[in-house]
Amino acid sequence: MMLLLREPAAELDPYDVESEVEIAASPDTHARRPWEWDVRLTHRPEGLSRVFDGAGLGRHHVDVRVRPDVVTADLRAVAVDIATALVRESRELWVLVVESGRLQQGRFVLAPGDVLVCEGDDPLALEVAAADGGQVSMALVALRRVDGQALRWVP
Amino acid sequence: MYVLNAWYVAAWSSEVSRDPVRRTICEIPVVLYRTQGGTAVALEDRCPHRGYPLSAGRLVRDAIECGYHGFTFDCAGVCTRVPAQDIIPRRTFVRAFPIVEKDGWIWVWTGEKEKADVAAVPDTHWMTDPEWATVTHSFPFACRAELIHDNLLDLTHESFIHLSTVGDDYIYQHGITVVVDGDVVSADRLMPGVVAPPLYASTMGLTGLWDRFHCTEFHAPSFHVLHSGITGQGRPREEGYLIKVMNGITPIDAHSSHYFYAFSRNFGVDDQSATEALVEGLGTVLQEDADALALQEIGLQSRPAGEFDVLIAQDAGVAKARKVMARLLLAEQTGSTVADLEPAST
Repeated sequence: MMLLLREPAAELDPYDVESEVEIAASPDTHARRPWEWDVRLTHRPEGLSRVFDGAGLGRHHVDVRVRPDVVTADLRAVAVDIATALVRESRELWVLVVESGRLQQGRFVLAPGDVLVCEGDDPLALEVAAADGGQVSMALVALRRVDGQALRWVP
Repeated sequence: MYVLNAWYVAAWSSEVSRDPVRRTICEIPVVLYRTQGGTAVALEDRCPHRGYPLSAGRLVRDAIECGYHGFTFDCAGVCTRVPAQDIIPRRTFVRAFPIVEKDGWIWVWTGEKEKADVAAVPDTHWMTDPEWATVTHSFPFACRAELIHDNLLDLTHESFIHLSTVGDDYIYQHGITVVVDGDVVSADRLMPGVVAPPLYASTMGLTGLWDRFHCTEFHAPSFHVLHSGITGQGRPREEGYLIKVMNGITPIDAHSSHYFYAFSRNFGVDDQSATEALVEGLGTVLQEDADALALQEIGLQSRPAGEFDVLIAQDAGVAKARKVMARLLLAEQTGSTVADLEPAST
């Protein structure tokens, strides 16, 4: 299952340092199970983070928090120009945040500020390309369970 | 409980005439009628005198006269006559709802009048486009509106509820892409290289393998457009045989809903036998959904407090739509006052 969020950062209050937007989290309702991880857009990063400053959405951070005994996280920059396949390993969950350029993924085009979450047990070859030529830069968050089990998530 | 600052389908155009008709929308009683010039009117269906339903009264030119003591109200809800006296008390008015009639649908805004935005009425142009043929149905559903939203946003149920009509095993074998854009949630599924479903095969004589697709596009809080069809393998969707299913879901109360349904196709447009077959077949599909969701409603009413749905990945559209609805409800919890609902003339 893939989840495409259009400009979730538009919900951030640029004047409220406490303002944040949850992109993905487990569990989705904190009262029901112990918290394990989340990916947020925030002005106050607490975990692995990368600054986003552009596309008219104001300066904020892509922030990844995890319970280290349950989940590991990797956050890196990715650049795409020509058509390519980004390979996600099995039992990984990805969160991609487009920082600049327009990304073609299947029949969808992602603009700066758009977020794509890729969930699933199987390896995934995500076919992407720069939609208008040029180059697309993204932040890519990769999450895995420490015990090697599938990282289950429902938005 | 209900998002009120929204457009809800109240009726088909064909249902509104010079005979007043009553509809309940989000527990609000509404009377619908037409002026002599044909303009649709929506007023609160309760006389302020002693609570009698105006829909049980009669029309006097463009006004409606209460059938109990003759209090008369114009299209703006202003009382124009109290038969038993000359003075009309200040509080003698009924609420008039913003109303839009478009493409054969009657839409009513149940919230604060000044927030009613005609541009927000969903696109339904296929209903009146001569390139498309349309079949419509109306069904009462004995369930809360949320269950119908969930049903439309997760079409894997077709493989089980609609076995004899539109169901196929391969539906639930393919994943979805959920798109969230403001208050619109879409759940898109592509099923490449499959046999054409019977609707297409029998109407157009299609054989071989096709790319099938469906995308439920939910315009919260009340309207879904299901973009569906088949196209040549690897070909753009727009080139294919297309269906647009429009679903107006209007809450009556906490446990029942109106379901206004329109099915438009761009193939076999002049095929009357296909149209007749669709009227029957789609009626069967809707009845199957109505029966299933009525059972689900009973199950939910007996579910213990503190027990919640166990959602899976295929429920992503359902989960996101619920969050959008919760956000819309929260935004309205700052509330409106009765003063916001009075007509300007009082």
